[in-house]
Amino acid sequence: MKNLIYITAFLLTSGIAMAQNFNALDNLKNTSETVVTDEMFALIAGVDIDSDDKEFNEIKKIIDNLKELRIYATDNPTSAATLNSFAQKYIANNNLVKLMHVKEDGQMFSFHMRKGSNDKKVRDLVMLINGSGDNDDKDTVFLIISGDIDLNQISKLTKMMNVPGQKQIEDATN
Amino acid sequence: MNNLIIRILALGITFILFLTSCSSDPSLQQYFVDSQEKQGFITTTIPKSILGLDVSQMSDKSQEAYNSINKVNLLYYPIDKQNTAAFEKENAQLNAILKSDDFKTLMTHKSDGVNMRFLYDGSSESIDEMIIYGSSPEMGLGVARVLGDDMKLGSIMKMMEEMKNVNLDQTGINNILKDIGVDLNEEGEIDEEAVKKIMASKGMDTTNLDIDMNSKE
Repeated sequence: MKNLIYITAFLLTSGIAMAQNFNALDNLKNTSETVVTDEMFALIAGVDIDSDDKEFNEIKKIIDNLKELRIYATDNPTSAATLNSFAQKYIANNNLVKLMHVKEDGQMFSFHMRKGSNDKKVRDLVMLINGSGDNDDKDTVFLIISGDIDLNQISKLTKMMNVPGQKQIEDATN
Repeated sequence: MNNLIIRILALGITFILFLTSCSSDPSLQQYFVDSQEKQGFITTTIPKSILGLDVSQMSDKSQEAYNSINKVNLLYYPIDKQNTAAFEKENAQLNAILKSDDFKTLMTHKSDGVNMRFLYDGSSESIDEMIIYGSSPEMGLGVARVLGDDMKLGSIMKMMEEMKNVNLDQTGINNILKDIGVDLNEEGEIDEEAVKKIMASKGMDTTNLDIDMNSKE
């Protein structure tokens, strides 16, 4: 009985933690927001193609366990600052653990995650790319992938989605 | 006696009218029907036969996929300086319809006022309707509905794969384009200037628009 209460409590709190409010980012200038929902992942994973395409089959396996993918990107300095502080808050509020960070070409790449069902799995992966202030052609990007994800597989997915920072994702997850 | 019948009839009719006018949750279908009569809206239905596919040449599975698609319904409402208020209203109404639980959101994209949504109705094994919605403060709003019966994403993808090797008969598409006034140049490609002219005639600003419909990537 006690166990049941614990489980319910856990589910409730994790539900609340997951239901982050992204409305604050709704009206940022020159910012793009892309959200892919679990319905999409379910739809793609449900495709019964006996394809010989090995890559597609692998991606299908990854996708099956995904809940949501969000990407925010901006090249506007003010929006970038807001996006950055929102991302930091998100990381702090959700107790995400830092995986690594890299500084490259005047851009800061940082990766945070929350552990999933076992050591190799991740429930949330957050990537933040900070463009340098003086170099305007570099975007600030905030990427969140939720689900039950095999860390080693993420780069395959981001490659397919053409997410910026591909090389850094590969380095961080392999 | 006659009076009584008329009375009952009248009562019945009012009752029916009352019922229909009371449906507080208008469907997307209803919205499409209604907007046919509203000013400024452009609505079209595109039958799938326009692709000019030769069904008999397809594999059984692809035929099944092809038959599961019925048609595409299009709605377009351009924005101009005069109709901003009406546009906002229509956009809000449409958004309210799309937010209903009937539709499952697959993907959304926003950037600088441009809004895109990709939704569907049905289950992942059997899709009844796929909806693509887009709105932009410069262009206006548009909705495309792919209507069908028991559509399966896998089979449709397979069919498209198969169709890659088949030459599409373009005459159907070209005829429709001609109908709406798009001229094709000698190579049978869409003429950029003609498209701009049409858009300009609908009150859209095309000076900064770069159309490249013929790009083959």
